[in-house]
Amino acid sequence: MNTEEILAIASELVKSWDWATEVSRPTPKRLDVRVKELKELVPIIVGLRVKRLGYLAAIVGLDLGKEANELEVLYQFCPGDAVITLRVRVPREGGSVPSLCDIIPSAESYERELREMFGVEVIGLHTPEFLYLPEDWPVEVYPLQKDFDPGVLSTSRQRK
Amino acid sequence: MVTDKISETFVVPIGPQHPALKEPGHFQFTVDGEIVTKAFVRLGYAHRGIEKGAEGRNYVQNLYLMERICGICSHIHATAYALAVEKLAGVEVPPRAQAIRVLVAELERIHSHFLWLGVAAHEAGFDTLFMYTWRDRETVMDLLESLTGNRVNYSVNVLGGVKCEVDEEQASAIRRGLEFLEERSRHYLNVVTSDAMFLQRMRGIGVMTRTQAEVMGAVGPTARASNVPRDIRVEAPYAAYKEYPINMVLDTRGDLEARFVVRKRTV
Repeated sequence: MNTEEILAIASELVKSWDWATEVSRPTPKRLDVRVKELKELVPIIVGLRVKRLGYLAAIVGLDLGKEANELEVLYQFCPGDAVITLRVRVPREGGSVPSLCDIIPSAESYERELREMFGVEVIGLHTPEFLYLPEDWPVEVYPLQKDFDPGVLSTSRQRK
Repeated sequence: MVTDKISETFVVPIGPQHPALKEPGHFQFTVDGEIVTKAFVRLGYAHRGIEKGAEGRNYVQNLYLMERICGICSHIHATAYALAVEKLAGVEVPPRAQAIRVLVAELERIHSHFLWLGVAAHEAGFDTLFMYTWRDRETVMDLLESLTGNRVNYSVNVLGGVKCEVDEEQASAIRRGLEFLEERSRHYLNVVTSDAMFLQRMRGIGVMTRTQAEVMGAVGPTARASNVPRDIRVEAPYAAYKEYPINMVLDTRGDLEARFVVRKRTV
């Protein structure tokens, strides 16, 4: 399958969710799908898996800042030289996404990272322990949010 | 007599500090006899916050930061970063610079595969092989040093090109070095596929089927050892890989031996 065929299959698949998605082709090799209904995320990913459209290359968090008050979570799938990106938006505080671990076991490390670095709860994740952060990390402090203040770390150390 | 069936799980904790680990990490293996049934991992003991660090630096400064993501594979991170920034800025890189990027990337890969072979042999209790491969690895390290001035963190990339040039003398030194390494690789391929003690610890051990590799999203030589044709240099040739296509090496067996063979044949 060449890139064009792969992305044609992916576009066709996502069309079944046209009421819940916004699709664009930012470059010839990329398909960008904004998933507006969070509960449709898992079914779309199951669809990608069934069609064998690439592997899960990464789950990336993106803080859109205090004004937008939202975080974007990007799921990158790579078939051949194409990249299919699924984007969902969640509130900056108290946001959550469903876990993919039951469909794609390798999602675990990305989801744990997303959870501790951005504060996005991952529902259905079996290992809620920190992957990267130290055990004495202060609660509800998420280092990859844009307004993270490293100053809180020294104060929490002094308290101990 | 009634015997209660009690499911006994035994958890073996390893790390964060452990003699067998080169870097800190914490693992909990749940074992049933000799079979690992579950694993739990915690990393980050040496987490440096590079992603956060990059947010507060400019594009040029970040190039140096990316070079230091990994000491073994520094060039490739900086290359990926440089390619991304060049794409954003709409900068076209001279073909010769792209070729030099590929040259250094391949030298880096050769050194990395030799390093891997040595470490893997060491973990399997074959220290002689470890010593020999690391001795031979010095050849490629010397080549990288003569080319770039550094054994690690070669710092070849700048945004828009490369810093170093290859002259005729260096080119022939590289050719000589590679001939020697090719010969050594053949020898090691022969060793890892014929040494009886080694084969007992490799053949049929840790098998990952093609389906498993696909579901788990394996990439690189590990995927190729399970017959998954996945190689970024072939699928999405970056820099100058289009001009210098490579052969993809596959193996159908998916065990530890296959992972050795794939890496050695790739070299």
